[in-house]
Amino acid sequence: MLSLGKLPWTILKIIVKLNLIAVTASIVVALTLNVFLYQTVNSNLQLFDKSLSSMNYIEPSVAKLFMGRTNLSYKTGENAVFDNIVSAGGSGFYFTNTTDLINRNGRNYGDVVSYTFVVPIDIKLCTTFGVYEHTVNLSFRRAVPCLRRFKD
Amino acid sequence: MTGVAKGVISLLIIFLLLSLLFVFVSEYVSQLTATNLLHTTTDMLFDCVISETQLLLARSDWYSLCSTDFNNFESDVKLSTSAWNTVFNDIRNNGFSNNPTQYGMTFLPRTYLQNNLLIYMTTAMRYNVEGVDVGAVKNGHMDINSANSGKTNYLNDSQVLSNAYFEVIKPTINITLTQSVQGQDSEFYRTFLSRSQSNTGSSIDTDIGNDYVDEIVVYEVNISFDYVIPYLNYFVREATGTYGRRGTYQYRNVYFVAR
Repeated sequence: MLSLGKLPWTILKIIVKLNLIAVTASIVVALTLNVFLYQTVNSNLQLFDKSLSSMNYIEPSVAKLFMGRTNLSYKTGENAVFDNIVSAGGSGFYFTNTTDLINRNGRNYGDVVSYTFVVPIDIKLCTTFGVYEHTVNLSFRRAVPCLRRFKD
Repeated sequence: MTGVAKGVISLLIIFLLLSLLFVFVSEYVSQLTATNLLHTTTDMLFDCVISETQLLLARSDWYSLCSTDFNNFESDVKLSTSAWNTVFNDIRNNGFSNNPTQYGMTFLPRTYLQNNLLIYMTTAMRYNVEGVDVGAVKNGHMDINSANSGKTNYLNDSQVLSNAYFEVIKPTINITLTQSVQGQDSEFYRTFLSRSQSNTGSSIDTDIGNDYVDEIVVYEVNISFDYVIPYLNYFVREATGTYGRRGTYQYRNVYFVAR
């Protein structure tokens, strides 16, 4: 019978080490991506929030510029400004908790708009047995005060 | 056996180093986020101050609220230019029943703003993210854990205005306004307003429309206050012996009034 000696043990050690390196690298990449996205999205949201703080309701041009979507359905003369700001497809990110955000009426100095912005990111875990993917939603919960008086 | 012990110790060291890395990275991200929010909040405060001033000067009781500031503004500008004098005279002749905005004129009332800046700051600080009490501002510390009372920069609760990310030391909130009259040949006018290289013929948008303007009054606005950004991790608080990072924030912007 052919003796393999230490070969299987050596191969097993190499596989374990490769997996350790791959999994560690995947975790480091995922964490770095998280931090980078968190900071980038936060910075952009702050510009959006600053605009929002001076508006009675979200204006079409601001929403389209921010979302990068031209297919937002703007509704005139109705209480809700948009009917598809959540579902408008394209870039992947979306709003939830949008009642305050798209409500046309009722904001004035001191009122706070709450909304949540969600950015889905794909986390990939690399191993020698394959790549495992999992989608993690980065949620940004915001509270933006209205800083202008629109009515007395 | 020695090999196994070495392996275990190595793993423990790696685990400790990774934990420390995680603590400091999360603290760095937290401080960065809070600093960004501080910048944006103060920027919002500036916009708030401008819009509130414009509304104040449109009120019928504007003079009773900011007579000192108006008188100072009038005496400063009258010394420099005659373009505004007809407006000042008309307002006085009508017993201050007309307000400045009826003449397309605004100014920044320094005393009034200084007295009301804390109120505006409280509203602006409702801007925050992800906190437990999102949109809430309170007097006192965000974290009132008594374990922090011994830290070097933990302050008296009555002095502090806080939201979920940073704290402002109330007595230090200050606004200074440096006022100057700038003609069409001034550097400010040429840099920010003029579409023309010549001294004449340039027009700018004013409250009374797009017009030729001989002089503008320029305000350099400085807002400053002391702040504390509490450390996220208790480990960092213990390691540094401080409750948070303390500093003085200086904000500068420019506002101009055309006539």
